[in-house]
Amino acid sequence: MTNPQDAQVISRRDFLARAAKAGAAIAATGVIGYWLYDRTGPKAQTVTELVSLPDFSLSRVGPKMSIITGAERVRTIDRAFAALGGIEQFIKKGDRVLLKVNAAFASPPALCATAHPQLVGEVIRLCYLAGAAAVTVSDNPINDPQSCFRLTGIAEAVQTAGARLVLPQENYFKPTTVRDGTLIKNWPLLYEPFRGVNKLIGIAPVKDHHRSGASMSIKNWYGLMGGRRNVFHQDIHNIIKELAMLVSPTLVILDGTTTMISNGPTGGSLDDLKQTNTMIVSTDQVAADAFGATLLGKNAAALPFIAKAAAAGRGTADYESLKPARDHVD
Amino acid sequence: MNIITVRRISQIFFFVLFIWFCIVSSFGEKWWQLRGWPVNWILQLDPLVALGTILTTRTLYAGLAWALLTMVLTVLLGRFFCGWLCPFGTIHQFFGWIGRRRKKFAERVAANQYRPAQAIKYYLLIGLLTAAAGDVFADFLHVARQWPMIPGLVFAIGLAALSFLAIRKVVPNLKKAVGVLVSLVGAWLAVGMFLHPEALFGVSLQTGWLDPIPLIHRSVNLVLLPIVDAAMGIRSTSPRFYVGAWTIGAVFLAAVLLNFLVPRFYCRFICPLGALFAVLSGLALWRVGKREGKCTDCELCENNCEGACEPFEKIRSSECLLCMNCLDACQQAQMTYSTARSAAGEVSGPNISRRGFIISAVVGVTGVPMLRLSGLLGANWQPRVVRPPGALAEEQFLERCLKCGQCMRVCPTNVIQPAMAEAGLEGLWTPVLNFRVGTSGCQLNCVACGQICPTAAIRPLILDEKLGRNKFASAGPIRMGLAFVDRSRCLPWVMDKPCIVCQENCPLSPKAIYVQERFSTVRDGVLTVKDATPTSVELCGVAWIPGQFATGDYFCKPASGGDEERRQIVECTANAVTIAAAKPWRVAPAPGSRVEIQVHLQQPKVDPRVCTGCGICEHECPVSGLRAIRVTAENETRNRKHSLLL
Amino acid sequence: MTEIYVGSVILLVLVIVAAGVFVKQFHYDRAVFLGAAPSGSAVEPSAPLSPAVNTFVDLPGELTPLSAPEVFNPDNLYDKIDGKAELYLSAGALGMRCQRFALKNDPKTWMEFFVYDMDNLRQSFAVYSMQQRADAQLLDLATYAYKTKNALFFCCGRYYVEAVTASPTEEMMAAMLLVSRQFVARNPPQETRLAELDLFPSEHLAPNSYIFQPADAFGFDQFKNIFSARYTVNGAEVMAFLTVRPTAEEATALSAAYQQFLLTNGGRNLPGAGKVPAASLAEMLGSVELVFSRGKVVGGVHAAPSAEAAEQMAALLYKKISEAAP
Repeated sequence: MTNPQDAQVISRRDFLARAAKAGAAIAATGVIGYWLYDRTGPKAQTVTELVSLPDFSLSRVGPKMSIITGAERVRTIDRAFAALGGIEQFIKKGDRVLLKVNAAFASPPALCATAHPQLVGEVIRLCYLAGAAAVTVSDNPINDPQSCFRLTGIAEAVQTAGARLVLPQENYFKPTTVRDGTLIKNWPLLYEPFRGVNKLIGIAPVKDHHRSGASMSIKNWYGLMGGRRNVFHQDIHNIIKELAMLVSPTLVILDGTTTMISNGPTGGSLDDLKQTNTMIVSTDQVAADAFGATLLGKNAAALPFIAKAAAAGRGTADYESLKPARDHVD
Repeated sequence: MNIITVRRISQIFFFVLFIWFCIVSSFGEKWWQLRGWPVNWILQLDPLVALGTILTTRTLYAGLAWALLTMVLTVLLGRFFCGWLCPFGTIHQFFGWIGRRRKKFAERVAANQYRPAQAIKYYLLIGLLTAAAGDVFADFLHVARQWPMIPGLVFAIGLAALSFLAIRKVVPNLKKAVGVLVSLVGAWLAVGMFLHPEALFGVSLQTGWLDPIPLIHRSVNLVLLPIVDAAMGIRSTSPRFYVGAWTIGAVFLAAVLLNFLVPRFYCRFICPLGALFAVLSGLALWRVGKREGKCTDCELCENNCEGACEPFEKIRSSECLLCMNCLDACQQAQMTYSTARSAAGEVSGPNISRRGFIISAVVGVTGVPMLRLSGLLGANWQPRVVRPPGALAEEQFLERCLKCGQCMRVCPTNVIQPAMAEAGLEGLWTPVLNFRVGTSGCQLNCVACGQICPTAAIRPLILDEKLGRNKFASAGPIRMGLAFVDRSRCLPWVMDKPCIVCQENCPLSPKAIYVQERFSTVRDGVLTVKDATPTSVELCGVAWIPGQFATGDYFCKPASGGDEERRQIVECTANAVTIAAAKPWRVAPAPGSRVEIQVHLQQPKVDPRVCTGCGICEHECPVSGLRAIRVTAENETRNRKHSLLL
Repeated sequence: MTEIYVGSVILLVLVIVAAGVFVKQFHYDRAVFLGAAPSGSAVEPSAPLSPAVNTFVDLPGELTPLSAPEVFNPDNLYDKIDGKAELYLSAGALGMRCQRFALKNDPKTWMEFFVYDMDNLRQSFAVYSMQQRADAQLLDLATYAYKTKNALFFCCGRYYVEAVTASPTEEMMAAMLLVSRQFVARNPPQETRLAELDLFPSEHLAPNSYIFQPADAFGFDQFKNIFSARYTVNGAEVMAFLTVRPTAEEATALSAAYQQFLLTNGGRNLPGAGKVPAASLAEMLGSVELVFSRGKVVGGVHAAPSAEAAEQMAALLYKKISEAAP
């Protein structure tokens, strides 16, 4: 039997211990309650933080353009850069480069609905040659990303050239809003591949496009959009203009070696294609597209998005004013 | 004054208060209507509601701060809520009492013995809370990704602490303990580094399923009151309907009837709120217990023990509901409620196993991502889930909705209905609009549902915001969805029947529904003229019902003539029509020529820029089965991704 | 002893809770409840409102407001009168006010008073004439006013007014007339007559048969602002019409254009007996159309059974027009 006095002492000690704990618990409850207290409830829309793309263009280089004719992409692109003073003008040692290719469809390279793997591979090689620390290739295709990159041959080209391929995932998108824009508001943008990147190059083929008339360098940025982006097709020329406002690339490469002159943007038949044997490199995406229009047998004036993008101050439709370097390689 | 009497008064008081709150939860300003009655008060006192929403949203929404009071009192006094306040508990106590009235003393004592299965409620609580805590886990893992040194630091501190404890011989097996520490911190680092924590977890507030306070609100609001209403015809001008109310009623009935098996069955085995109180009451300063270790062993104290906490032996304090029946029953005044622990000893803390804890936590943590695999929050979102005005985006909505049914009760037109399968398992009994059931659509000038919602799953809109006016003008009105005309069912679109009921009933200004005018020749409507006057024409081979074409919707025109020759029919006999005298034939149709009887149709179209999805058109549509105009959740404000327009 | 003490404290807490709840129910934001519809019940308020509710008409002693006044603009006129709004809007309605009133001694007997602001008499007459009821009975309330079994309709200058009841007791009809008279007295019309109507001869005129069509009269798209009236001349029912153009030249041109319109649509030129100068007659499938111009006025006869009847009516009309504008 315990001594009743001892028991009392134990009991008192136990009570004090409990009282201390209870007091601490009550205090904690109060503090947490006060800290988390929310008098008004949630706001109209839980706004996630907006992201915006940095300006990748190089002001010191100024507007430059080269137009090289020839049937061999590797040779024309090499010459195109050489004509502009070498890719070193744009890519410096230690740069981290993102190549936004057009890999929209799961269709073979021969159909020219997507960026050509040879061209992609060569550009990666040139970037590394110039000292790039990392080259990333990405796009948010219309069809399943995995098969798009595989069937277009781009995945293999990227792997061979030693670059990193980033396939889009749900959490890679962050909402963005184009300043002064009306369409791209709080819209998901493929942002993850841009992390740590300081140079951006767009690579796109010249294609006919059912809605917009043409799909070239600027329309290529459509592949950075997420969500149900096809709603924008209701206002196609303005969305292309806003894409030009959204993205300021280091340069764009417009591949007019084989142009899809009809049934774009998917094509599907070789009859839709025409050998136009031209490679364009330009720091001005509007000028590149204005020239690209001529490969489609169109006038830049027939493509409203070009005038709209030019009016928004994103470049000039008068590509001759850039005094493009022209050359031919066999 | 006997403490038992006081307890009964308290229980009856809160039960009546609860019923009164349910009754007055109808929209209006009369004394028996909503006005300023604090109808959410009992929900707000419920700490499981507060804790659940804190885990899911990391905020404590306004009135839910009342739960802090309950928590503080529980920490001081024990589970007073269960024994003195909870209206569901009062129902159980009452039916338990009925169930055991005829039973013998030994049977009663046997029924009130502690059962290991009473631990089930803790497992349920753990499962429900871990399902709600996905964000907390994600943040925890994110720490490892963002600052990998923190797990390292934790490891170092843990190692030091373990060594110290090992020296003090508190930890018997240092090797094993270090092994556990290494694997835990390693798992933390590995999962955090290589997986995307935010993508790994889902956050879902499912406590409302079993939390007794939302459960009893739901049962009374959606099952008991509608039945009483219909029978008495006092409270509502038209009977209330709730889709699938029988499922809610079945749960309620089962919970009540189980009292005949074991008294307070729900409280003892299932109630997750009780489990939460049990955990909190571990610290309670005042507790029920024996004054002395020895007594006469009469077991009278267990005769009416509500909590099955075995006061006769070592009392299981966490199970004690403070019913005080043992104090009253004990002939020797052995039982007491005091600051001292029971002299016969206590079994403190919930009796749960580590294995059970882990299993229920794993089920809770993995359950939500598993449910989300259906894609209901993404590509597979259900357009039938039209939420009330001001409802948060589905993901945030599921972080807050308790399924308490307050919005459904208060809705003046009864259009807010409990979801059955359409919103997925997570969305069972959450509010959706069903425009066939109610007495109209969502009323333009009503914001009752958001005002009553205790957790702001439906935001407390003011009218200006709902209608998009004044300072909300730039945001536009709150859209719940969009009306679509089903052109395969709409009378003027497919059956040549004039009807603009939807257009007429659209409450917006300008109207969201507009019409396209069309004249369509009726069936067998090309006819040969027998004779004609300047204002009438008699036709061959017809036998109409007199007046058939005299509704004002029908017109007659020469088959060869253009639209400008069409004339409105004002009278119609079995074989002749008369046209308005103000506009006679320019050239009366010659006998033998052909005329057409045409119907003037106004075919409705919806302007998605204006329509808010209030569903009044759907409710009024005369195609009473599958309506010819239906609202689905496309274009809803709460999710921009469902927008149809730029 | 402790038990009693504790019990009393707890009961006191319950009383405080009850009092708190009771006090709380008085405090709420009334704005939340304003404008929300009652649950599915009839919209009519069960009791008349207090006389303090303002009205936009002077009420005679026997009437009391049953609802607050409502105001509609062209955008939301549909809300009140649905599809019929088109009629008013196409005639140029600027807005509408309405309110319900009940008899003081019999609140179940109520009427609704509608005032459409049509901007001018011509437009208010247009909606008035286009809606004329068959069982109309003319009133001296205003120049253009009539009543039916359960309603009054009249033009008061720019206002077109309707007073409608569902329970046309003698008392109610009298009250409606009284409130209408007070309305006219309160809003004395600037114009009371349409000059064109004075150009119609009064003999053989079918009472209350004037119609004003702002556009597209008789299917002819150039016929705008056409006034017409029905006559019974020598047992033949005919319709006379007229419109006033800004200049005499325009009137002549319009008259010629109408004749041409008739001829190109299957009419046949008919020689006249020359009772009316420069009148053109045409026969259209058994009925006769006549059109002439006299100064700025284009007049004519529509759907006459014979050339004689047409010319006889036209002569009357011509004479009256000549008298008015020699």
